[in-house]
Amino acid sequence: MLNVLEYLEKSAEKFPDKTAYADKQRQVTYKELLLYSQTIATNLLNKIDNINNRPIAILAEHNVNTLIAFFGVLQSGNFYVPLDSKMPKKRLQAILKQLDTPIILYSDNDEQLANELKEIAPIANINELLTGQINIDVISFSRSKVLDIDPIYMIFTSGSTGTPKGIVISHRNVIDFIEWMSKECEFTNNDIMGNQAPFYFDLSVKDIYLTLKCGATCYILDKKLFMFPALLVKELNKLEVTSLVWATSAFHLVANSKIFEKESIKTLKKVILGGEALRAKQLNMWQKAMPDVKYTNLYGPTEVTVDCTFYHIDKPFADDEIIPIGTACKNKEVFLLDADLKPVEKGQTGEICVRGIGLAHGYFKDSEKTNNAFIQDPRNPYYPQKIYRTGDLAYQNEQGLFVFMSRKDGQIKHMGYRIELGELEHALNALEKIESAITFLDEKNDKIICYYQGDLSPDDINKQLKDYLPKYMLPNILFKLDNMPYNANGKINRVKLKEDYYAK
Amino acid sequence: MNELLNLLKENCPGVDFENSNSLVDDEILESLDIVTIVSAIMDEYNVEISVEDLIPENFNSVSAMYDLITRLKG
Repeated sequence: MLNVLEYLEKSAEKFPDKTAYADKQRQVTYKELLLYSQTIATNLLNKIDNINNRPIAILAEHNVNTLIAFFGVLQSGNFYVPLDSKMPKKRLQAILKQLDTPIILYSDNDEQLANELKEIAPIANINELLTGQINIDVISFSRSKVLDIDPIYMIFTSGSTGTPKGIVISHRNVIDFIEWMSKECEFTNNDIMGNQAPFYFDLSVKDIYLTLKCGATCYILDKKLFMFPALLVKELNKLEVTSLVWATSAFHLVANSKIFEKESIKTLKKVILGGEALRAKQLNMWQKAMPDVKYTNLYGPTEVTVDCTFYHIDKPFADDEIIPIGTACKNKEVFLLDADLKPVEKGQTGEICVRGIGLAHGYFKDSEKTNNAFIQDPRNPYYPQKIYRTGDLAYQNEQGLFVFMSRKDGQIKHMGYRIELGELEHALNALEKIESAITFLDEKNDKIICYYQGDLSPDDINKQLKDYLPKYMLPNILFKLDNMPYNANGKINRVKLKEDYYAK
Repeated sequence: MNELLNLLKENCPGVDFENSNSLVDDEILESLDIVTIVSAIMDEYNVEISVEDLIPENFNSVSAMYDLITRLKG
């Protein structure tokens, strides 16, 4: 198997008339999905002069059309770059310029935004690419040039220096991961998934490709449902959902609403979480209402292709206990190195490092960052072999399970999003009336705290920041100071500010 | 009502509460905002917002939230 489209072809043969993906407006069967993707590819290749292995930007909405466009791009022998259409225009423009995409694909509701992006690259409405003749010869020729090491998608994440970085993932990366996960978590064509993760976020790769490989059905859940848990649970029961592969933050949010004191999801069999540290308190609320469901905790940065460790919850945890991230996924080695890149003693804390075919190629147009994070395996001086340094610190407990500790740097997880505080501080300090600003995460309450000095109100700051940063990156609580505290070597005294904050 | 608006602005800085009657439907508010607003209202007004009250209609505008509080207090 060399290309993820083989999953689509196999399922279209076995389950032609079964619903593959559905949103609240439309649904698409496997046969339709195959035909639509070939139609898009034919139209697309015509528009972009039959080029291959180039990034195709897609303004990714939470709908079926976006997924059809993903597969259309793959059929054309190119790779897709899903972008959050809600991100600030300046950030979107910066990414698109860096990308040098031959075309931008969009859904109906992004018509206005797409028109504003026209000067950067040609645009095309996905709906308009869905009609016309399929030219199998042109598609086959284009696809024959794609190897399994060629990209399938690229995902942008926050970058510490102020520019988002694009992580390039190949067909082989995804196949390696999906083959493992479908077996380990026992997915079949009888599964009904309830998709929560946005498609510009690599968590959704699990929903998309587990569905496709197994011939399952995936319901794309309306984002709004996650604000209103009673409606969400009602909808999940109506859809008879069996599997939830969600961001941990969404899992916590639903538990905190206390909905499970009264309700449960009756058809649910498995819940698989990832994206940030899983908390036992919220897990216990789910388990109490749904004790027969199998819960699994996954861990991994986008650079290792979705996840690299897993832990099936196999014992009770007290509310304040830490839940391990578990052991390595098949065909990945996960190990801990100290600051000198030497393996740590058993039980000692070290940086999580990963080896395997699942490692991304690196960052788009950024060999410096790539070379810093993807390095020669220091344990192997004999031949070239790369490992990825995650920047996450962990230790191995007595059962041999990895336990996540913290980040080495200023990267945080907030509401399921990966954020570099460096990027936020860069944007804050660039505001005209701000003299200085620092930020940190209040982990317990999942809030980004900002201390600043300057002639702006918190409300004004966030209104201005919205031009540069996505909403999830904005500080939640801002404190204005007359004078920033400095330490002896002239740096802002972050430790003191944190102490002040927690003393409140 | 002004008091409520100030409370909302203080807790969700940067959100434009004044110019929309469809804060939820237009995706001006996100899930974290709702969580923040619910706990701020419960603390400030000493009311209990239950999961049944968590529906879009109660959060689409400042006046809808005001009505919810009034109802819960009554």
